[in-house]
Amino acid sequence: MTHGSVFDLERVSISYGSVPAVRDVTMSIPHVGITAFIGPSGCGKSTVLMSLNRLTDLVPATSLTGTIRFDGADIHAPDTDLVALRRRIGMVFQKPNPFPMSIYENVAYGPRIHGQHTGLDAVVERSLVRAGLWDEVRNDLGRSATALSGGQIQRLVIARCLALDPEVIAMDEPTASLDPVASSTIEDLIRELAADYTVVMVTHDLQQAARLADRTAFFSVEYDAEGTRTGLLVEYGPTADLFERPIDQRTRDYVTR
Amino acid sequence: MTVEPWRTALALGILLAGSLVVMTVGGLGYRRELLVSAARALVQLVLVALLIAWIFTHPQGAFVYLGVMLVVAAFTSNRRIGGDRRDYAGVLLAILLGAGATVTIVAITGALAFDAQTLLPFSAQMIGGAMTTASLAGVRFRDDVRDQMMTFQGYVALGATYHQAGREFSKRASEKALFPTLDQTKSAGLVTLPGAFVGMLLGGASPLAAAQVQLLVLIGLLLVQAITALLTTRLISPLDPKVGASAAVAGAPV
Repeated sequence: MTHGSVFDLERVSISYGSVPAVRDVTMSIPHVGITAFIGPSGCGKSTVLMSLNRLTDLVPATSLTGTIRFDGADIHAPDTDLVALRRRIGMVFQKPNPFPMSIYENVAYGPRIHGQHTGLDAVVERSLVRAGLWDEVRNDLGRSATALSGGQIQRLVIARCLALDPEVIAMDEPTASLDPVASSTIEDLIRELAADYTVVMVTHDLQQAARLADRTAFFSVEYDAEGTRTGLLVEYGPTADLFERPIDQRTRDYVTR
Repeated sequence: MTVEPWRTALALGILLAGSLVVMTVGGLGYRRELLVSAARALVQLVLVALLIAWIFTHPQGAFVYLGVMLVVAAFTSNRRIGGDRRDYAGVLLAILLGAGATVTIVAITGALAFDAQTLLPFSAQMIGGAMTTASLAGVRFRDDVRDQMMTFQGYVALGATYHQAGREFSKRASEKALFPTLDQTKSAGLVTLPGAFVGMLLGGASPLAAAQVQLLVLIGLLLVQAITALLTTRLISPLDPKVGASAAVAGAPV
């Protein structure tokens, strides 16, 4: 998997019941580095991100057509091990969501549910170090995670993913609810992680995409004759091309507004 | 203790008429509902009395009676929780095991006589208590998961199954469901005289015997509810089957 793509999406359309979210997305996400999804609200970028580890399954009556391949395997194949899939693809959300337990237990939760009960101290330390939080919490591991600041919680959530040794870290607007200082700490961390992990992130912040991402995908919204709104992928390529030499007029309008 | 039925009828008539007069003078509504409620209570209690009297002479009937009670209790709770068919099985098992454990202990120790006359009302009360707990715990459990959907989603995103993720919410919801009985037990005899105690005194039993039975009921209910609350929140799905976890998934319609 050192070359080629991690994800291959082929004509992926997703709807929630009768409400279409996004249609006809075809794209490949390569190994390591940062891929950003940008676009206006309702363009389906978060839906596509969530579908990568099948969190869209949480919504009943979700229907998906087309195929999503992860490491060559169709993630909707009947023999897909959902637990293993989610272990390999970590997810960080917009709203920091600490578990109501200690800092230590937050990080140990993933390994525990996957059956690991020994060597947890080392896993917790390694993950917190990697997420840049260790020095701040090393003496408070038993403290409730909910007492941490928003930026610390977001790094804790990243440590929680890292504890499972994932291949991909998917992030849904990871800095949207943070102050500028905490945001920039997270951005630095994302940049570091991208050397070893495939990072896919949704962001509302065009500058953030321009600063961080190797590749950027621009999603937009279209309305059919009856006024039904659907998201679609307009343009996808190296970030510099997308921002400086966009091919599609809609992309140009969006990135230069 | 036997009272001629006409004396009871006379007292009931005066009590009801009194209520009607007071309500009319005070201009209160719901007078019709008062009569309907009274009539329902009369019919239901007479029928149950006849049924239980029959069961006392045909003890095998007790199992049928309790079985029906169990099925109805689980149905009532599950409807309150908004569960589907699979949830119903969980609620039924939770009520059965909670009430069953307590009745078995009380019967085996000989704390209550091993006959239908004693065990039937005791079991019925335990099933009733289990039903209340299953409803409280189940509703609370689903509400907590819904209110903290982002946290729930966090567990699932790390690979937890819905039930594993739900387990993190089960403890608190179960604790909450125990509060009413804990309070009732704590205040027994101080704030109110509990039902079994009053009933036995009215029936002519000695106050000490009444206290003995009341204790079995209260402490028994604590075991029933601990078991039923924990099992209910472990066995039902943490998600409303119709809504799922839509609220947590960005971009999904809510």
